[in-house]
Amino acid sequence: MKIRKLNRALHRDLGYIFFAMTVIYGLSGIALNHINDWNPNYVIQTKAINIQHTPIDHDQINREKAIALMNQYASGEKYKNHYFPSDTQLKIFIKDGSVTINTQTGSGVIETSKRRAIFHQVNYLHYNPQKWWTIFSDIYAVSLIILAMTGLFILKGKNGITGRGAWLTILGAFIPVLFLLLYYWKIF
Amino acid sequence: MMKKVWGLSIIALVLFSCGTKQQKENQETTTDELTAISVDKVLSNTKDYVEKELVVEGLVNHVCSHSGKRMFILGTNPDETLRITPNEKIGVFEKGLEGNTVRIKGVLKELIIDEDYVAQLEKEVAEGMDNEALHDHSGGDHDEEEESADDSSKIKQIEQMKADIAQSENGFDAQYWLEASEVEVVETDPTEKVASEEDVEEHEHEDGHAH
Repeated sequence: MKIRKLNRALHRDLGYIFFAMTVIYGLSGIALNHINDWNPNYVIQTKAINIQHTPIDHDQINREKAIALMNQYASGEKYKNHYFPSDTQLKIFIKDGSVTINTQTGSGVIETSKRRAIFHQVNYLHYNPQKWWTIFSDIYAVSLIILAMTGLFILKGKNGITGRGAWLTILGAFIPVLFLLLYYWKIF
Repeated sequence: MMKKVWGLSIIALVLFSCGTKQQKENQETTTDELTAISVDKVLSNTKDYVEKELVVEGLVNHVCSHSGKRMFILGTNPDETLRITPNEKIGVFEKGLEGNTVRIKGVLKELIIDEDYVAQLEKEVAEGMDNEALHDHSGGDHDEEEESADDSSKIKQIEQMKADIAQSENGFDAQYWLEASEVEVVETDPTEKVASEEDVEEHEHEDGHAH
């Protein structure tokens, strides 16, 4: 009886303490699961442009000319720097982005990026930015195991681990095992 | 009691939202003690700098936006870049560093890539693991898709590694990158000309070869 009470208290308090961490890792987990489909850190926007007076002689492009060129197509942007990635390309860095121009054909693209709200922050945390964060997230990981274990013994009776709980626990464990059988051990 | 909880929540939220600003400030610490050297000098004398602390200056042409764990700075020849990774103190690089000239303090790291290493790498890729060696992008600028490279592009990279090893005199290839401990944004002279093809040609003539 006393152990069950301690179990409930531990489950309850760890649940409260690590509520925010669970949300953080849940969100960043979804973000990283789909890393090939989207960029969770930044909203990147591109806009095609076409420069009229081409070809552009690379030797003629200095800071002032690059700014003038940028202002024609990305007016109001703040110039940062420029360079020539190749014989046919000019890249002008602007605040939060860049303008890339094919100096022979005149085709180009303006790319700007903005931090994605919430996901930028949670993704930053997921990548273990500092040593103390790694320690804290390790504590969280151990606590998650404790939460899972204590969660099994919260209820007694037909909905507890000896009844419905057992079937649901087996179902939850079966899915990763099935995946391992199919794709890791490849026994089918 | 609830007032205290809300108070603590607001403090936590303020600290959380300031996190990225603090990180940016960390990246702008000073690197005064060592004299900055160029990317070209590092790339042409890599063996001399391995595991040594140095300060390198160059234009940031790309920061990996998916992870912020890699950044590339340009040499005189835009095809030659030096990969920068953050140490634990820095954590990640912000995309806003692109286009800035930066002075980076760090330790040059070396990875020897021989046949055994490539065999291990193939095994890891087959098991769906990632490896830092597959994020070299030494060809200068690269697009975002390469950051989340799929298996086919990883296999291509491994094939390229095999070809490089076969062509090498010593039977191995090597990758070099700078593990940064400090990043300082340098205010550039507005009248200064940025690397042009002419500069590259002059550089090639001086050295007798392109880096």
